[in-house]
Amino acid sequence: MDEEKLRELVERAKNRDVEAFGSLYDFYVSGIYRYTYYRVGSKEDAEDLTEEVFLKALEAIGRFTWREVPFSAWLYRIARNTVVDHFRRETRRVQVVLEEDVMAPETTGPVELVAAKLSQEEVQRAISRLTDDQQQVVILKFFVGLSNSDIANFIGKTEGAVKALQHRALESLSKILRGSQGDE
Amino acid sequence: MNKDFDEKELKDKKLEDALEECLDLVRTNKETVQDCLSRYPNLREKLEPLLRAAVILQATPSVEPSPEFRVRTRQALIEKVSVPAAVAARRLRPRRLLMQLVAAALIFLLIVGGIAAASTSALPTSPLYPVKLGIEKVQLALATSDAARANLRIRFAERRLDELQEMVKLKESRAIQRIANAINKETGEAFEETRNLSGTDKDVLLDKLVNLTERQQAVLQRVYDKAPEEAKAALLHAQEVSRRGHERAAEALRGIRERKIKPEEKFPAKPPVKRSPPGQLKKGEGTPGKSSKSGHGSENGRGTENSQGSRNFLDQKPL
Repeated sequence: MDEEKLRELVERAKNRDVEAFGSLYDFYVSGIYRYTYYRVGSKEDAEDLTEEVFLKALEAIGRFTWREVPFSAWLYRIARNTVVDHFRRETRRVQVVLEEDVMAPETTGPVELVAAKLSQEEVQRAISRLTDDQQQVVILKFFVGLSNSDIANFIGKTEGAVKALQHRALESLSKILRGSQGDE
Repeated sequence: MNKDFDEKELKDKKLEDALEECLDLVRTNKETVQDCLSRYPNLREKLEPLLRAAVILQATPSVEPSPEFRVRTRQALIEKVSVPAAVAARRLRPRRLLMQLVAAALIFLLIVGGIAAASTSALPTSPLYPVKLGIEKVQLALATSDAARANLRIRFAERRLDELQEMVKLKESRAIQRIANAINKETGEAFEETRNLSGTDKDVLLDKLVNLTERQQAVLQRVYDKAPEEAKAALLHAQEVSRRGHERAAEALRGIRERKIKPEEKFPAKPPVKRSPPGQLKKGEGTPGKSSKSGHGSENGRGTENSQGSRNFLDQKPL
């Protein structure tokens, strides 16, 4: 969607235009769903959270201003906060695993990762072992398709910091995936 | 020490830039991982596992929300968008006198121009349709009592139902969806106005609402099979909302009549526990999105409004 069209839809949605909000929903629903799915790892929870995100967006859109952040970053921040609230509620889940904890077992010699297709569940489990910021970058880059610039806006860091997080995230994922292949 | 640190930082920066470039080239199928690695022989050892991990992520099958979820949630949001606007309009009542004066002037002009007469039979696809809706707004502004406004809302809901049938004949799917929402909206407003009434007025209007919602369900059921596929979800939803509205109106009417029989009963009986609709909406009492499993929407006193935002506006308060 081009910037001009997006601005028009957002302005109309701020005035509670049903069709404009419906169009924004149609455009963003898949990305928000994928974001929540890879954060929480359950399709049912992802549906609940996706709906919650749009309901919150509807409540708050009247206060949205273009000066602060792009609309997509604003919407994904709502998604991030909704997921954080979800984790707080789901006390059974141990969410954050520090990067130091995911160091792979020592291996001898180079191990070639097989670029086999892993299931969504396997990939989600691996991602869930990254630090919070790394998860944000990997999910938004590889599954939602946001640019580094949008991700930087979203997490409130520079594009350089996003690249560094991406580097560390892929490094950790490489180790995690090698570890899980070694387990089999 | 500082020199070592700077050198490491520089190496990392080079690696991050090379990684970014390779990710872009591989993602857009301009180069393979091997092609890209050959560009950076000095970084190959560090770059290769990173690119392999990225390829695995890119090869993961996409996860998408189900079509049923998309439609259900969209309907719930649309319903939610409509309701607060009506509430906001209600807050403008202190300005009603001024609005009535302006409205009277407008209606005079419209009648003189003959446009009003021409628009009365306008359908949603007609250029005169906005005039028809404008006149309805003027009529509402001129109404001097809740009962008069409730009667108007009922009349407008009847009109929308007639328009819906015409739009189904014309296979105008967007108009069908809009009118299906408008039917629920007008009916919801009629309920709101009726809520404020008492005595015979309330009795009469509840009776009208029972008949209105009964007819709505019959018409919505009848046109469903003939409607375009993309409009069916909206019709189904409108039918469900109408069904629940019918139950509530009938229940309120029964309550009033029972109290007339037993005048010693001072307070209305507790309303019965709501039951879920039979499988038309997936989760909760017409509350798409909150599964009983998670049940987290209203914890800590927060999120209640959001999590129940899709709640049917017809059954938020007792009638």
